Amino acid sequence: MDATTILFWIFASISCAAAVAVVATQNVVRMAFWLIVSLGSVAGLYFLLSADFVAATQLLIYVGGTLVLLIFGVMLTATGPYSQIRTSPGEALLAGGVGSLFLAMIITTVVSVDWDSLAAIQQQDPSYASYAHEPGFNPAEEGNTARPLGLKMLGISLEDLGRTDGSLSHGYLLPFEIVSIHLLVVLIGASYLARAKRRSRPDQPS
Amino acid sequence: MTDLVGHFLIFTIVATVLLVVPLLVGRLVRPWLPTEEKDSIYECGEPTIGTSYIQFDLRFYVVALLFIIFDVEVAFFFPWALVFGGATQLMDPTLSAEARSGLTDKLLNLPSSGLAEPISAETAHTLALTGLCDILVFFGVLLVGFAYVWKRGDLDWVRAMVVHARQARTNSTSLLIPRGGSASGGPGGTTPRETAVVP
Repeated sequence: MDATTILFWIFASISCAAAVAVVATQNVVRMAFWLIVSLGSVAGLYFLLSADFVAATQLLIYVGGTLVLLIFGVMLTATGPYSQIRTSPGEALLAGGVGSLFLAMIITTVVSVDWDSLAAIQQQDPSYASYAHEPGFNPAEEGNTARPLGLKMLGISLEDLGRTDGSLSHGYLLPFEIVSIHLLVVLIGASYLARAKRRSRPDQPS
Repeated sequence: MTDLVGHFLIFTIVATVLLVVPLLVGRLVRPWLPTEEKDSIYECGEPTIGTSYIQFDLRFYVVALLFIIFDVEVAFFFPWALVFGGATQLMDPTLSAEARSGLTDKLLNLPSSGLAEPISAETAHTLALTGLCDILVFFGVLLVGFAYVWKRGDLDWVRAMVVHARQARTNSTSLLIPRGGSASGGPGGTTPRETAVVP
């Protein structure tokens, strides 16, 4: 067991424990804090799994952005300093059921993948083996993912480099543009909802 | 990967030490003479009025949401910027063959061993142009949303004050906000809607 594995276990335990704390805490602000811990540890896991762009995005968007939204949600709804969230047994049962189902789905998915043969395929890839272990160089598989992703977003795949048969894999030019449409929909929808709410309470001092 | 573990450890240790040492030094050094003034809540020297757990204006929510939208957008800018930067560097036709090869390896994420043919200036130009159009469309679509929110007056803070002032003017004679304040209020289209809200 090397240092990476130990660190992975530490981050995994922190993120699981913090996730349990989110559920167990009854104060919304503390929930937000535990969520920061949990999401931050997940970012650490991503870093350890060599997905550095996803990890940075996780920190930037989830820890930096979504939590801001959550805090604003608390600010918009808080009614007292110690507002508690109490769940009825029925709700707890329902949430537990849904959570267990989701957990079961994830576990079956993870177990059904043959990870060892996947790793073997990767090792046999000639383009990977030739330069993967040069000193001072990080291939995309070991955490240098931003540039290949950027090329992929322009419709160019680095996997095509070693190919001689002329076939090209798919790029993500269109999905990249669709992302912005999604963001547009979110922006307009949310501002509309916020406006509708404001309109429904005209006596609110602004 | 050992690199990464080392970085994690360094950051963890530095963060812990820099947090714990000042607290510890403060605990050992500081005198313990509490008074009522010292124990009171400090808010810029002003005495606090009421609780801080008030309901905030919903406008904050729209601003926070706008922040997140553009946060996500900036996250998508990073990989694009790396490629665009590499392509614009390669566009220079006066580059030496060695520099061109090195930049190509950097752009294509290869070790500097001449695995790939160097990218020509014309190809780099096409790539940079594609990237520019790509990001302009991406950004343009989001600017439509920004323009919508702006035009509909979701970002206006002044108008609420103006409406408030107008209301106060009808109710009493006291008028603190000058009429000119409405000049910065939203353009015509949305104002009737808002004034209809506030009776």
